[in-house]
Amino acid sequence: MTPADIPVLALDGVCRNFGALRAVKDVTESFQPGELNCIIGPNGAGKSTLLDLICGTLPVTSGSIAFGEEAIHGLPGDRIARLGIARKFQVPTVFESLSVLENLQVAAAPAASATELERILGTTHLLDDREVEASALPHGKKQWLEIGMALAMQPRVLLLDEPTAGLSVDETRDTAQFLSELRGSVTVIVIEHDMAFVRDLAARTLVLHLGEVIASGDFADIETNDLVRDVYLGRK
Amino acid sequence: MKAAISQGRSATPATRRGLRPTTLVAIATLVVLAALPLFAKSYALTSYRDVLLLAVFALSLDIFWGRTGILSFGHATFFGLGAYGMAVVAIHFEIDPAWVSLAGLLFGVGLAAAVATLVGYFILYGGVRGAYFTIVTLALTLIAHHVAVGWSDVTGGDSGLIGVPPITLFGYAFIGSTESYYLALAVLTVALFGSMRLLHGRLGLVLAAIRDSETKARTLGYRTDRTLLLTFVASASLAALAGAVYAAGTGFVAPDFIALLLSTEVIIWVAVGGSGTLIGPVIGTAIVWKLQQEISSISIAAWPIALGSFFILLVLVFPQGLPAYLLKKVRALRSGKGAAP
Ligand SMILES: Nc1ncnc2c1ncn2[C@@H]1O[C@H](COP(=O)(O)OP(=O)(O)OP(=O)(O)O)[C@@H](O)[C@H]1O
Ligand SMILES: [Mg+2]
Repeated sequence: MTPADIPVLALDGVCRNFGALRAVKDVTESFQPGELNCIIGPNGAGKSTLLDLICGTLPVTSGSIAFGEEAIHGLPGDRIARLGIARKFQVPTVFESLSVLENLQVAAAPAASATELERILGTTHLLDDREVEASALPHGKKQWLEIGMALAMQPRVLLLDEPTAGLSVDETRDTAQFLSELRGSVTVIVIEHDMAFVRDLAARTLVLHLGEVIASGDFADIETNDLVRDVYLGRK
Repeated sequence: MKAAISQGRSATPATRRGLRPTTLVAIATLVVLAALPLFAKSYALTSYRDVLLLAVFALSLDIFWGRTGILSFGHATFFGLGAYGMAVVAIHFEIDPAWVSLAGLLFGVGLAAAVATLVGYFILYGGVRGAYFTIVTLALTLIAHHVAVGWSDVTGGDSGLIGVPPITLFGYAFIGSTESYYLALAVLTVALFGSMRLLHGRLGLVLAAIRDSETKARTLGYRTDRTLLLTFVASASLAALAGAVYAAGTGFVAPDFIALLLSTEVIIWVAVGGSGTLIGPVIGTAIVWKLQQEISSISIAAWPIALGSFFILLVLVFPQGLPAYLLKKVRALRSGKGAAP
């Protein structure tokens, strides 16, 4: 896939309320084809909710989301997935009663070749676990499996919610390496808490706070932003 | 962040067995059934034929409940629609005897498919799952039963309809007990291997995925509502086929063909044999039928009590069915961890 095949993902005035709580407030952002993006922000900032709105798991309260020419807010989640928008949830969500390989088979198109699935097993360090039932996998491997399932969809946009939570230092480095390799071929939006990881990625970064984007740009600039330091980075 | 980090590193990876023992059991069972008429008396064969058709009915429920994890309490509705459809066509219309069976089968199965599509569309596309689905389908059986009792001009009311002719296909009438037994066995064989073929393939994988996490399946691009609806309609149609052939075998229909008790019994047959295994419910039907014979011969009142008690155990102790429960106990004993539930 080259960036030319990937439409721009554009959010315009996107809001989402839960009762009186305004979880996502007026977010207007666009994500360029093949670009790697990070979203950071404190707990409850609305990061996961924002991804839910993009992939259709939740409807927007107001605002619009466009994938190229097509307005995708209001479409059912399965339609959005078939446009090539893949999602890894914060709490690893895999099909517990299926084996690792079966999980990938379900995620891939029926025509997907065995070599393609082999390659994904390799990328996700699951070659030796292909016959293992997903419920028996340790947390870290579930994370990898869910990433593998997203890759098996051959996505154009990849939404990853905290892919390194629960991973070892080595595995986290692996993940950073693997995300960097996707640059240019898939639009990636990744939510992260691990600042060292985000620094490594050197990606465009959005800072979310109380549902609003309070800063965006290169991580290097973000890190020196006073407001961001106050609400988030300063915590450390 | 807060929810995520529970390191499940305890589990020793359980490898999956590639072979499907259920297929072997299915073949063995059918071979035994095919040989049965050589040893059985002819009056017993008609009972066995009925059991085979009830087994098809149990299989139909397993296709939906066993694979999607959603329990339907409405399957007697579809069995009954098949049976009544067959009876109404045969008795109220003057159709050429050579074709009346086929017309009855088509009408009965078509009726059940139509009702399943209509009801299934509104509840499944409406997002109704789990216990709510069970309750709505339970209500469906109650309504269907009331119609069967109340609309007596068509259904014969409380006494039902008598005089359903035996199945006649392309000029051949399955009149004798051996012929009708083999017809029932043929229906069971085709239904069993057909459903195994379908469900051991990609469809089975997708249904298992939906059962594990429908939200996730949807984010992978599956139209889960549609898949569930199609499975429900296929399952209901097979139940109706069983009902229609059953009515032609016994020669009559009665309101207990479309009653809550039958909906409950079929759930028990599936649970005893092991839901999700397809062949299990077939064996479960036979076991429960045999038990019913034995217990009822001791005391008529004992059977409903046994049935009710089993149902309560099913809900509280082994929701996955009896074989899965026993298997877990055995595994737990073997691995020496004691018999934790
Ligand atoms: N389904 C829901 N119903 C009601 N409130 C919700 C729901 N989902 C999220 N919220 C609330 O919306 C806010 C944003 O939640 P969200 O999960 O998007 O935060 P987050 O930035 O992903 O946080 P974390 O870092 O903890 O994952 C929180 O206050 C949360 O309690
Ligand atoms: Mg979150």
